[in-house]
Amino acid sequence: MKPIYERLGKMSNKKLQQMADEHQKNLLRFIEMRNGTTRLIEQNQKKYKACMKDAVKELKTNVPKALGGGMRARLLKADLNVSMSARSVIRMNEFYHRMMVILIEDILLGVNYNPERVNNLIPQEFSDLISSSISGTNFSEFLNKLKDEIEEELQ
Amino acid sequence: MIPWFFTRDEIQKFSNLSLKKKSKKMTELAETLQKTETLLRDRIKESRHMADKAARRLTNGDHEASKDLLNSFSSHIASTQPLMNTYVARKLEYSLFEIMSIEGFEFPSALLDLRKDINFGLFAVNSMDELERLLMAESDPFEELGIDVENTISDEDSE
Repeated sequence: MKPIYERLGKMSNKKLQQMADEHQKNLLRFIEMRNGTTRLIEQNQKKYKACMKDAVKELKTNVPKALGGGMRARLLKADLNVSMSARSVIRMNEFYHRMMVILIEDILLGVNYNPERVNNLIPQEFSDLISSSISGTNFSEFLNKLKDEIEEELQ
Repeated sequence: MIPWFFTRDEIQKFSNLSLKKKSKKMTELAETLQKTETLLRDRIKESRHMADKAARRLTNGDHEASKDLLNSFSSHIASTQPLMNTYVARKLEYSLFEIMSIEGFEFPSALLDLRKDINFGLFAVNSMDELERLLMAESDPFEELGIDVENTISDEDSE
């Protein structure tokens, strides 16, 4: 398959403009969905943090109660894992449509393309996407920080 | 390579459905997910109830009854894990269908053609077994809290 900039370069300006408008609409849809998912993640992170904070406190005085809190935390953590995984797919779509809008707009403006162009666009956007996605599944780090924070509060 | 989760028949079939059929499928899935979540929450509530009761018994110095309740709690946790795995798998599927219902959705292949090192979190699993293993490793707040459930029960036992 030919590189994307070559395929786009062969299209008429009218067709390109239609495509850019369509990708722009799609981009907005995915931005909106990503914002909603991020809000949900933040809410669940707060709940999880509160739940773990209570459990750590109870751990010092009442282990069975801490175990009960741990069960609730387990479900919240599973929900967080799912939401963060879903967000990585949403962000992938968001990035895809944003990249297409940029490429089409540049072609319409007569920017000369070379194979490096697409590659240059990707790392910039994806450095954030990849790290966010990994942090979405790396809970050990998140939990260790949380535990340290709570223990500091208790001291 | 496209993660296995995206290549499953159910996922591919969903992408070819009409809007009306997609909506119907989403409603059905939402109902199943709701039932699974309710059952899971009930079990967790019951576990917490057992833990609370064990705590009260322990405060009253009734070690034998407390040990019994903690043993029940422990088996309850073990029986909850498969349900938790089912819940996560269904919720993952539902979340993906929700995203796929958005106009303009593209499968990862669109971007994986351009870049291979994208991490899709739980969607990156290669089988349901791997998802279960990942959940077992990722979802143990007891370990993070420094609680060994088995030892907790043994400690109570030795008192």
